[in-house]
Amino acid sequence: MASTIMESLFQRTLEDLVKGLRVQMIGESRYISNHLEEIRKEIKSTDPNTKTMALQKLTYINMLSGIDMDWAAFHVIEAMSMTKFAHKKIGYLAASQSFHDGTDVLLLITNQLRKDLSSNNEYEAGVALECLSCIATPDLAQELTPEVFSLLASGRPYVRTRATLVIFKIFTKYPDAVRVACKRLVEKLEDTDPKVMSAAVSVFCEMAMKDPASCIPLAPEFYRLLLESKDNWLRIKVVKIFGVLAPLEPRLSRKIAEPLCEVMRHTVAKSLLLECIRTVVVGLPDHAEALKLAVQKLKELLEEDDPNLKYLGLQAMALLMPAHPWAVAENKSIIIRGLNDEDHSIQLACLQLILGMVSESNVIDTVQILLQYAERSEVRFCNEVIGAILATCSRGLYELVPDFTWVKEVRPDLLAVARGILLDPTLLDCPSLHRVLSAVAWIAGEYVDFSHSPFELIEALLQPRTKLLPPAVQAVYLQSILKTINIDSGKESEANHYTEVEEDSFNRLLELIEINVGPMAEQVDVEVHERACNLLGVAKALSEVLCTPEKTQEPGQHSSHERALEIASFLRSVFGQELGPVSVFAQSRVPVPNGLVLVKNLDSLDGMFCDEEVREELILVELQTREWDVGPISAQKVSGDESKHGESASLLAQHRQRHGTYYLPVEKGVTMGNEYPPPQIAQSDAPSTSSASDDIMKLAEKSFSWTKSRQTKPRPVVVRLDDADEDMILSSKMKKGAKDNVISNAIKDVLVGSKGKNFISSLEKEAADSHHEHGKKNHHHREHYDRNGTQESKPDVLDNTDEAVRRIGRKKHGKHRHTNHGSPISNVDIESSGKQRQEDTRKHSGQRSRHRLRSPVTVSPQAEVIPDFLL
Amino acid sequence: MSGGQLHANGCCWGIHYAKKMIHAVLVLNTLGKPRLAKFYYPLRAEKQQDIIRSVYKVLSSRAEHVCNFVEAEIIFGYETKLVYKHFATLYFIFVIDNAESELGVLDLIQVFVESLDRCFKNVCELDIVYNFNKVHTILDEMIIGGQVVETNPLEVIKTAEEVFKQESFADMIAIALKSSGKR
Repeated sequence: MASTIMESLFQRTLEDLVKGLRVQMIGESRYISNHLEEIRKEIKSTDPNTKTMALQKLTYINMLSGIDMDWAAFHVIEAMSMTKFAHKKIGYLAASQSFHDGTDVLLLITNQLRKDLSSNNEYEAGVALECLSCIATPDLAQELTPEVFSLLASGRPYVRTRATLVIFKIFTKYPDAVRVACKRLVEKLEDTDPKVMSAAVSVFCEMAMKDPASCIPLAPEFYRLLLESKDNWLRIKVVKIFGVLAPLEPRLSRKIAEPLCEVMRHTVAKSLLLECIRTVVVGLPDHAEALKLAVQKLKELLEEDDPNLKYLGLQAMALLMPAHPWAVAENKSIIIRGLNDEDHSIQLACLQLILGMVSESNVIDTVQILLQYAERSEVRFCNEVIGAILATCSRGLYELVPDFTWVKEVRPDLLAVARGILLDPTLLDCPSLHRVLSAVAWIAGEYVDFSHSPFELIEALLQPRTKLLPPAVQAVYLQSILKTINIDSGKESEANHYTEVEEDSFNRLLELIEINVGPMAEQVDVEVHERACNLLGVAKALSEVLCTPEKTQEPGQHSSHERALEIASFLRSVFGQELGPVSVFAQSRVPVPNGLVLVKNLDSLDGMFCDEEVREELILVELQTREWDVGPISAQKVSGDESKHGESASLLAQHRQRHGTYYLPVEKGVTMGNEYPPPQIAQSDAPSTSSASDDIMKLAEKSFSWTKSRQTKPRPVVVRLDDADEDMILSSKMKKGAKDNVISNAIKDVLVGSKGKNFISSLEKEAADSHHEHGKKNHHHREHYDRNGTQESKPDVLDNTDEAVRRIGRKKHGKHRHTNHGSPISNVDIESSGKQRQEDTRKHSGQRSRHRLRSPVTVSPQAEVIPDFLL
Repeated sequence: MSGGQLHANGCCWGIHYAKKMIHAVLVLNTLGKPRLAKFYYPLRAEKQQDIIRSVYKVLSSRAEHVCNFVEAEIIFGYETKLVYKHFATLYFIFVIDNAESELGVLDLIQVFVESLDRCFKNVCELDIVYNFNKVHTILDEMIIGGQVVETNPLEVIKTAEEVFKQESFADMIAIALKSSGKR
């Protein structure tokens, strides 16, 4: 006893710790580790005060400096189980801050949570709910579903609100809970307490974002809330919900158009206004009146001085872009002014909008304006402008660019800007710019002809700090150096007039290459390694030739200049051919070599890939490989719209007549086949339905055939990435769908019974008799709520339900999670054991048939399955 | 470009799914020290520190009087934003996704600061440092599991003070029980 008193008397409090931290002279980390020793001792104390104080300090240090506190997990649990609220709360805070899926003692808290959730003290239940919302795992969620479910019917709004929000967390972790709790959650939309109602709307908003279709049956409820509620926060959520529901159900969008306009006209809350604008833009594209109003309001927002409104307005503008470019064009002057804004986010948003407006007729002017801006602005934004211009111009195989001579004229400008970027060493640090740098390096190598001082470019490419770049970018750098150096040497030797000084600097350059590229040859990355070796080889050959002293040469032998000339002209012939865009038409005339099967069904190889993830990784790897080879520009160039090919093909044909030399000699395709590797064209006529595995195999073939060709003759490889991309999106979506479906199916089942499709027909009816039934339903719901709400008055009835649910929970324990498909067992269990629920349902159906009888429309028998709370 | 987005889509999905409307609430001072870090999904301590550092890097590079929203897809995954406000020596940062209204959350930050102000009477950084637990309590009265519970500062403070009372009240009962037990 005495020792514990001494302990707590002399223990340092959190305040002492903080004070100490502020005045310490020995360095923060040392101070903390000293203190941690003390905490380790104190936390083992048997005195609750000492223990929780130590825990509190530990939690603070954990937050401040990321010290691991997994070792204290068991002490956290001890603190959570203390009787005093103050101690308990410290324990719960520590748990929700530090527990994660990997905490091994996590399941030990199940019983403690269960106890505290059913505590009579609402604040105890509150902290338990808060903690559960942070650390819920599938197992915890399954175990505690019954407790949280019964809290949904708690008489205290404080607990009810929190339980409503936590039940959603449980849904995401343990989708089967939807079957138990969804109906009660729907009732919360009618709760007497506005906070509970608002919480329920938030939950449904989140559900609608994940799976809009499952929430459509609740549309009438949300409609009512939109009309009746005065709470802006709630209305924002409702409008958001409509934003995702409306695109799915055209009748719904007709119905909400008028109320939304009403809100837009009258609300003073900008947040609500903005939400309405977004919903109108996304969900009601056919309502001219609503759209016009939204665009007008948007314009007002853009004209405000508040940068926040401007930024959000621009973002909403971007939503308008695909369907209503006229609305964006109307605000063109504001948008162009935005390029000068001091706010980087606003600049970027404007840039995107401007490039979205680019069309065949204005592309030249736009690019010129943007280049002017690029030259004036700071480096970072300049990069983004250049990258965006390139991406836009190359979109759809240059479909936008009417005149290729112009593209060529722009190139020197481009190079000038690229040079600026390359010379700035500070940019190498910034990971987000790596892709830009890779593009710039490619430009530098490809168009080095336009440069006045290739030496400078090489020096920039050889900066020691390039080691910071990822291997893919390094590879592009190396290739660019190779291109630059041979053009350089070729130029000089051809002219045969280079002076001593230039020769010196050239030798220095070669040395520089050896110093800097040497270490890269040791790289693990194959691509970098190979290219570095090639480059070193070339450099060595050149330096050998150039270093042979003139005087030792006998007359009549080739001078070093001549030999250098030989090498250089050879290298030039390798890189000399300019990479023009190759039309799809021309590509398709290159014959596929014998033995290469591009469209074979490779489903039988499916077994090779054990699961989806491996496949996705493979695709990613392949994508990256392809990007290196093609160079980033051509990688972007290929992302095009297939339907536009015809147009661009004819354009290109015209162009080809004028500048035939830039094109591959297609007629000699067959003979070329021996000299060049077969062009790597992802067939535009390949079946678009090809499965992911097909793609992988095709890609694999391609990447294998590349490896050899690369060293001899790099050439434009036009690959359509689109298909692969779509596949990837698809597969990731499917994967996502697999889990989402569990929830959405369950929601659907609960909301509309097993015949989910019928809700559409019900909506039609609903339009006819909604007013009539609204009153009825509200009335009914009050009744219903009263029954649940006054829990205390009829405890036995409710206990039955809860007990039943709890039993189910227990029964299922040990079966682990049912993540695959909603388990029909639980459904049956509930239906059979929850007598109260059955009674409910019967009552509902009774009421419904009464409505149906009164309604003037003849109702098809299927409509019966829709529970009437939806109507 | 498309590759990068796909990457975010495909790989962050697992985490993204677990995340909620408000992913995290951070309070950092202008030197980058965390004063409050609440993540609404489980995250290991070192990861939290990484995130705090990258958030600070983003915010410290922003000028004054620019908009209060920053895209944060690199840090938090698909379609996430930082909504932040700068008060004296502190940044208040809410990390949200597209299920939350940006302006709404900006108001929410105001509510949070007002609540702190009422609780500590002219709140300053030191109050938050010394009352780490209380600040958490106040935040928990506003947000549960990443969703908003209360948007009225008066109500927030009312319930938070109930909880504070409970803490000290339980103390008193315990003392009373102890003393009666001794007798």
